[in-house]
Amino acid sequence: MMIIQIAWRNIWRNKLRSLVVIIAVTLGLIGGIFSSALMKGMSDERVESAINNELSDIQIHHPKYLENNETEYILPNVANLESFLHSVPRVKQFSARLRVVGMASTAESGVGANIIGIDPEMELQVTFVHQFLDSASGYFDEAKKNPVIIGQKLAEKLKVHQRSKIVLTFQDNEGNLVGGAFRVVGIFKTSNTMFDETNLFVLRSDLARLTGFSPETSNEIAIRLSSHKEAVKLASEWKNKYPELAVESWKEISPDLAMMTDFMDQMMYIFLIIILLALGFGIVNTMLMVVLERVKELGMLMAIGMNKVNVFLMIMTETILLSLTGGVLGMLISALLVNYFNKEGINLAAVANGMESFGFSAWIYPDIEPDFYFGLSVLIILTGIIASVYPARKAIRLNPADAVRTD
Amino acid sequence: MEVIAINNVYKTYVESEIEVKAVRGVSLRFQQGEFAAIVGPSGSGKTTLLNLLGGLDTPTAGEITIGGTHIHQLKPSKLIDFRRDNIGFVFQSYNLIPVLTAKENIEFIMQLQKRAKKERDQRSLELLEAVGLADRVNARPAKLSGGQQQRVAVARALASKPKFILADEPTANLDSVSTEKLLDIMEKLNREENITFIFSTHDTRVMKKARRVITLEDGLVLSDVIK
Repeated sequence: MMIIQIAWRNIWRNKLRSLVVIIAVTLGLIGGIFSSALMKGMSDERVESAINNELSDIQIHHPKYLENNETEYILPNVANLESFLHSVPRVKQFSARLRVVGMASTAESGVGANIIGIDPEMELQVTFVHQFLDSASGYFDEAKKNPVIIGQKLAEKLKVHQRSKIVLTFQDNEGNLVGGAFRVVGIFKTSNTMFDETNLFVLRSDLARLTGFSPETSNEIAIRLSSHKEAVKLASEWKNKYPELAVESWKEISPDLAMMTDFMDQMMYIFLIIILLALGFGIVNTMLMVVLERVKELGMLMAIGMNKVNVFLMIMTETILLSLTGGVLGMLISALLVNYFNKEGINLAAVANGMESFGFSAWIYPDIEPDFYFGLSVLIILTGIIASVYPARKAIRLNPADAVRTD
Repeated sequence: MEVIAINNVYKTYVESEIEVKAVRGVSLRFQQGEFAAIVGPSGSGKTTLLNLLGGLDTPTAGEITIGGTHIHQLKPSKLIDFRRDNIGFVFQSYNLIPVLTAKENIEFIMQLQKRAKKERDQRSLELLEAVGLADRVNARPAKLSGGQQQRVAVARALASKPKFILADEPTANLDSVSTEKLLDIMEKLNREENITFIFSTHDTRVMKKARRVITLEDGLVLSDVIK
């Protein structure tokens, strides 16, 4: 208690010098935390958008479908699977799809595309593509024959617009090339240009009819859970329950995305460790000045009976308190900033095209997990401890007899 | 009762590659309740002898016992504890902890001794009363005059209930009024509570008050006069 009291008061003996260190730590941490929150916000946004629009939390396929995406590998016993999924409370919604790879053509152009046959009502809560439809679009709500919703980028490539006709060609259930004319009823634009360029949605019943399957046929079930965090665990449980099926969490479907999120978490710490390391050198310098200024006082303390452990602890405590004062201020201000921009968002409209071509949204909502602040506090204390070692060693090596007579 | 025995102590050190024989075979005895001054010109070895006596320096030869303990045979950590519990220090330039109040400065050494808060409070207030600073309990050193700071330093030196107090030129930075007051307080404590004081000094006022004056010159005891 005595050591903490002296250490705290010592910090304020030279207010200007201590404030310089505190402000440096505060600003360093604000920069580090806010940058980390931005990176995490971008990464979370990318994951959220990928899960919402492309991947969903878990997908189930026939194992052979994954090898070449061949239409013939449909899911067996879809009705049983659906009733099982209805019984799992953590499943928010799921959508049975019929997906084929084919060509989308117009008189002017033709491109390869993923043709996803959906039941619009089931799909509503699985992918959020309906939220990205332009104002003139509908969501399969017009009673038109063979409606299709396509990405804006794909529409541009095919040079089509609302109510245009496009021809989709693909293989049927026997491997024959078949096709059909579809009417564009909606054009969507998500934050991922690549997704918009390669995907189009049709009614599952239309696609099943053209491929020669029954209307209930499905080769993909996309599942949304109440929390993304449960995806890996549930997928693993279902793999055991249905060994004949390929059950994959979003992390398995898109390992690059999984790697990015894991890497981002580590990057946040690495980034802050580098900042703290740089600040640590500044703190060492300040504490060395402190020790050199207080040679006489330290000599007196050792002369009257303060042992070396206590002298060491006193310098260490002072360094930790100095670092923590800046650290707490930095974390508080950062938390307020992150919280504010998490609600308001940051619009990077100027670089939107570039970001969207990599699947990132132009709106970033910085975010930091509360646990991160705990980890950061530990890092700040560690920085204080490490930064104090050299000055504290200098202090305990003083000879009290000489030190007390220092001018 | 004998408190300190200095037996044929030598101290030689090297300064700028020149060997300096600061203390050359000094033997002295101090009894409980002495009020002694070690005097002599600069470089006579006063401070070196005081440092040896306080366990802040190690003799090149000879031995010093305090209350029967050979202090220079103690391990460094034990020596620090021994100093804390047995020797009170008063320095020339007060050397109080600037961030602590007068009372906290006195309490500090008792905290090192892990004494109970109640006892610390009581003793620190008693000691401030004894040195005439009962009204400056919560003043920090910067708010006290030089004389007041040195009185707090005396109170701090007494706080650990040491066997004796070593005061290195305690009046060197004080004016005559403050010196007189400080000496009166120390003399009173010596007389009434039988506390042993050993000073090193140049100050004739201290020499006059001292009941024993040891004169050093060139590291040797030139005279040892008991008044």
